[in-house]
This record gives sequence, C-alpha cells and structure tokens, in this order.
Amino acid sequence: MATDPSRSGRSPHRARRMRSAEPYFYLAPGIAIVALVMLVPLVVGVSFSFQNYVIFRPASRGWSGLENYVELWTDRTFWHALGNTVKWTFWSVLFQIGLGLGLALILDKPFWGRPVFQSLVFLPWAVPTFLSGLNWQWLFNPIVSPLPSWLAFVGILDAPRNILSDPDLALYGPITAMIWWGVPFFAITLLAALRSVPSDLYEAASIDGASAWQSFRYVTVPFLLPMMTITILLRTVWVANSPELIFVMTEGGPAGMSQTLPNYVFTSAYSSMNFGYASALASVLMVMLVIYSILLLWVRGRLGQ
Amino acid sequence: MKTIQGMSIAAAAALAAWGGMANAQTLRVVEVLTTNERTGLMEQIASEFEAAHEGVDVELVSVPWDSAFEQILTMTMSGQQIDVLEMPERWISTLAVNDLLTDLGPWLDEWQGADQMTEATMDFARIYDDTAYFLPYGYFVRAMYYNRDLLSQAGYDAPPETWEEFAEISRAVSEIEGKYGYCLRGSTGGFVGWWLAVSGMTGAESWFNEDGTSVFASPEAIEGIQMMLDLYEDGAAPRDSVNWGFNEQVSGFYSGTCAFMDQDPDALIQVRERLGDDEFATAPVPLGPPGKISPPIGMFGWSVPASSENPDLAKDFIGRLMEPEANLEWAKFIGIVPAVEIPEDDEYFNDPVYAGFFEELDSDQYNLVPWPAYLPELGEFFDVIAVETSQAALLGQMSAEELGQTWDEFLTEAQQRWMAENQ
Repeated sequence: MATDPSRSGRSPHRARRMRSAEPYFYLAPGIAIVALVMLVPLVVGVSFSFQNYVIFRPASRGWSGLENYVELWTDRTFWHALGNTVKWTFWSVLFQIGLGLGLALILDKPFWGRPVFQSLVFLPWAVPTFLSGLNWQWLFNPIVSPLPSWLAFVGILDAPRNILSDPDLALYGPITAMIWWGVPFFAITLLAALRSVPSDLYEAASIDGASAWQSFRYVTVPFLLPMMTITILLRTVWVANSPELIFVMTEGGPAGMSQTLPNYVFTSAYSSMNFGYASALASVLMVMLVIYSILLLWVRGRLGQ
Repeated sequence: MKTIQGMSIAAAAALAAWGGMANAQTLRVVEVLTTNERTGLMEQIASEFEAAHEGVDVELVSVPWDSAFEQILTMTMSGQQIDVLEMPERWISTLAVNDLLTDLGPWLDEWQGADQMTEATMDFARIYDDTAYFLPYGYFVRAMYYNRDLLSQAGYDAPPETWEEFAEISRAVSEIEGKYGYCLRGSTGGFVGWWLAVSGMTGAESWFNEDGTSVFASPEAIEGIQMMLDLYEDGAAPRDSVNWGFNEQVSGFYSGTCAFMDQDPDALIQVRERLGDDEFATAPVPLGPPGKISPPIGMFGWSVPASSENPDLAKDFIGRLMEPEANLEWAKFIGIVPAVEIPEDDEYFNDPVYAGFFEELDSDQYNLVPWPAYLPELGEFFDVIAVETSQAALLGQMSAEELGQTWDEFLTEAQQRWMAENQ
C-alpha cells in the first residue's frame, strides 16, 4: 500500500521501511504459532536437562547444571546406544535408498502390469510401524514362522533360532523391518524425480554414443542428486529418531544390546522416571542431528557447484 | 454414552480438550486393560448407571496397556479430567507421591458393599502409606502350568512338588527332539520367575530383611539364581526365551514347545483356546528345601484421581462395579481371582483347572506377597534393571553372584532410603 508521504506527515524513508517490513506482518501469525507449539516446548525440554528432575522425588527437583551431561559421559549404556543409533540409521537408510532406487528405475520403464506392481511396492508405507514391528517380531519367531528355518537353510544362521534373542544380531531384526517399511518412500520420491528428467537429454546422449551406464551416470544421477540429498537428510533424521520398531520388537534387549538413543530416552523417562537425564540424552541426539543436517546441506551446496 | 479408543497421548490430549467443554456431569472412566467381553459388561453397567443418575453421561476411554502408564502419568500431571481410573497397585506410589490420587478411606468406611469384600481386599486397598488410594477388584496369583502330554512322554505322571523335581523333569522333557522343559520368560515381567526360584530356595517371605537389606545376595538366593541359569545353559529352556515376554511365553506353552510355565490365571484364556482341559493343568509353584514359598500376588483396582470433577459420582460408580455379581463376572473376563468371596456353587472358579491357584490361596506353605509397591524405584527395577541384568546373566555375560549382588545393591539402597524417609 503506497501512501503519500507529504500528506501522512511521514518521511519517505519511513514509508520505505514500512514497505520492506510488510511481509513480516503477514508471516507473524504463522511464526507465532510455530514458536508456541515448537520452540516453547523445545526450550522447556532442553531446560529439563539442566535439572535434577526425577518424577518420584518431587522434593529434590532443582537446577543441577551440567550434572546430567557429566553422568552421560561416563554412562556405558549411552555410548553403546550411540553406536547402535549410528549402525541402525546407516544400514536402514543405505538399504532403503539402494532398494528404493532399484525399484524406481524398474518402475520408470513401462511394462505389462506396471500399475499393479506400483501399488504393491507402495503398500508397506501404508502399514503403521507398530503393526509391521509386531509382524516382523512374529516372523523372526521360529515357533510360528518359517523364516528362521529358511535363514538356517541358506546358511545365514547356524540353526533356526530367533535372531531377536541373540545379543549380536538383535538389532538387525528391527533394521530389516525398517528397511521393508521405508523402501517405498524412496521409491516414490525417486520415481517422481526420474519422471521429471527431460527425455530429450537421453536422446541427445544416445546420439552422442553414450552407453546405458554413461547416460545413467551423466544424465540420471545429476538430476536425481538434489532430490536424493534431501530425502537422505529427511530419512536419516526420521530413522535416527524413530524408537517404535525397536521398542516393539526387542525392547532394546537382550541385555540392552539393541538399545538406541531414542529408546534409551524413553526408558529413562518412563521406566527410570528420570526426566532430567532423559532430556539430556534427547538434547545430545538433537544436537548431533542438527550438526549432521548442516553438514549434509553444506556437502550438497558444494556438489551443486 | 460414548466409547473412545485412546490411541496416543496426542489423541488423549485432544480428547481432554474436547471433553473439557462437555457438561459438568460427564463421568470419565479410563480403562487400561480392555477385552471385548469386558467392554460389553462395562457398557451395560455404565448405561444402568446413567439411567439411575439423571443427567450423568458416562464416557469410557480405553488406553492401550502397552503405553498406559506413560499416558496416564501425562494426563494426570497435566490435570486432565479423569474421574475413575483403572490401575495396578504398582502405579500408586508414583501417582500418590505427586498428589494425583484421592483418599477413598472415608467413603470405604461408609460404603455398604465393604462387607462382601474379602478381608485381603480391604487390606490391599491401603497398600500404600496406609491410605486407601484404590480399591482392588481382583488378583493375579502365580501358579505352575504344566503340559500333561509332554510330562508323560518324558515318563512322569504328576507335576513336580519341589524345585529339584522341577529341574529333573525339565531336563527330561528337553531330551525330546524340539521340546523343552521350561518356558522361561527373559524379557519384561520375567522377574517373577527369578523371584520364585529365590523365594523357593531361601523361604523368604519378603524381598527385604528387617534392617532394609535385600535377600538377593544370600548364598541360598544365589543358589536359586544359579538353578535358573543352569536350566537355560543346559538347554532345558528354549534358547530364544531370553527375549520372551508374556505372548511368547504363553504361545511357547500352548504350542507344546515347552512343558512348564509360571503364569497368572489370565493366561488361561489363551491356553484354553488351544489346549483341552485334559491336556494341561495348573499346580502350585514348586517348593524348595525350606518347605515354604512366597509367590507374588498382583492386583488391579479402581482409583479416583485428584483431577476428578465428580469425585462423589466416581465413588458411586466404583461401588456399582464392585457389586459381587458384577465383580465375579468381571474377574472371569480378565482371568483373575475376584475381590469378593466366591460362592460355593460357582462352577467357574471351582473348576479343577484353577486348582493350582486356589491351593496356593488355601495352603499355609504358600504365603502370597504383593510387590513392594511403596518403592518409587520398583518400576525401574522390574522393567529395566531386572530385565537387562538377568538377560546378561542368561547370555553368560554375568555370573549368578554378580546378578544377585546387582539386585541387592539397587534394592537395599531403595529400601533403606524409603525406611529413612518414613521413620
């Protein structure tokens, strides 16, 4: 809205300032809501981590400085859970993106019955994680499921036993479930990205005598890269933060061997009732994921040039 | 009347926000153990209650058991209206210490129905701090289920009376290809089995001695722990059972994979669907050298949270739920021992399949003890520490002595702190 400065008695300078501030007025309600539902709880949550806050000792609640973080530094379970979180996130995302890309490339080419396959591929994504966790838990149970016998038959296991009860293998149960559940997400997003690649580029490449691999390497990949970076970023944060499959399938066991950080946060908060310690764990996880996100975006910026 | 399936904390919160706008005469009843049969009975009681109280609307909210404690804690701490709350005795200490529960004592003293309750019920109502924070509606007692076929295949025709016999039969059954003796429960809730072994060997009637030290580090207790570890080590329990929870243990039993399981009467419902009454039975838990044992008794009951907007109506409603006929039927649906006296002519509870449970209730050799629910650390011990350390011991990462000592340290500290605070 332009105003005539001579009549309103305002300096033109001020009017210009008002005009440049205008977008922020429109944004203000949105920002206020985000601040209210995101930032306030975040600040409160982080502030818990500097407090001695055990639910069943209301009397001893108070500020304790870095005490929770010092305790965390010497906590073996924390370090173990940290390593598991990295393992869990890395393998889940790696296989999700590999299989998702494969599916996307297959579904990108027309073939008989493609619409049916396409909907089948996206099915796991529609299953609630809790439900798929329970399904996989039973699938790994040798009493009711043939899966352990098959694994033993092909030589992966020495006997048809439950990998969820094996301290060295337990984490790979939930990882399998996570991969199964998460592949469609990558398949969908990458398929959408593939379809946006202009076909004349492929034509140009084949006229120039590019092999199939070369046109994949020099046409498809550069087009997919921005989309891939952003999906990897999103999925990594989601997977790293997602406790439910592990919670349902192993409860972090046996003997805490498949505990990841989000699960440990949950255990500390609701079994040990130590909200202060749980908040410290959660804050560490958050800081790590923020650093990771910044790194990935920086890498993407470098690749973009 | 409305029935709402609570699905998440967010849903519960949204519900509360919406419920807060309902009229003042809404009675919100929160259930944490839901079965289809029980819901029918609950709805019937609720509609009768609505008919008898003009302008009252009973609203049933079901919170899924797996996350019930977290949700209830969140709801009550944020002051959301709950008038009647179903809960186990374990929750009382955490909720009561934060002043989230009301004292039912004055009402219980006037209440007509108190005469029909068993003596135990009136005692257990005051389990925490000698204050009636809840009224139990039924009990879980632990007995030994055994598979008759597997026992006879191994050459035995009667269930074991002592732990020694139990170990012997377990090993004999596991000689059969693909079969095992004991459905061990290594995951959540598994501490019950360890306690039975410790209590059997020590004869202890409590987790603690007079001075607040625990019984778990004594040589006899370690012997009990070692007995369990040996059974697992020797293959008398399935290797997977280190991670078994309730469902895996029960399915291991009814599928005929293993011959014994220590379980409450609520497991009968699932077992009976798949095994005939002639294929399995229940016996009292085995005894050790001292000739007496203290199996745990667990309970569920009704409480009135401090966030209730109609506490008097809530008490009326609890009174209605606890009427003998309703309570007996209620107990059948969940598979628990009722809170009221059992009539002579009740066919259901006088069935032989209940023999193991009632023998424990009647015999002097079995002294049923509740968990030390007054300890705020009980949940952490039971769900985290006991599970992680016992699994570590089963996997050979810890010895029986270390396991007993770890439990002893944690529990002794908790008990002595509690004693110091409550002198």
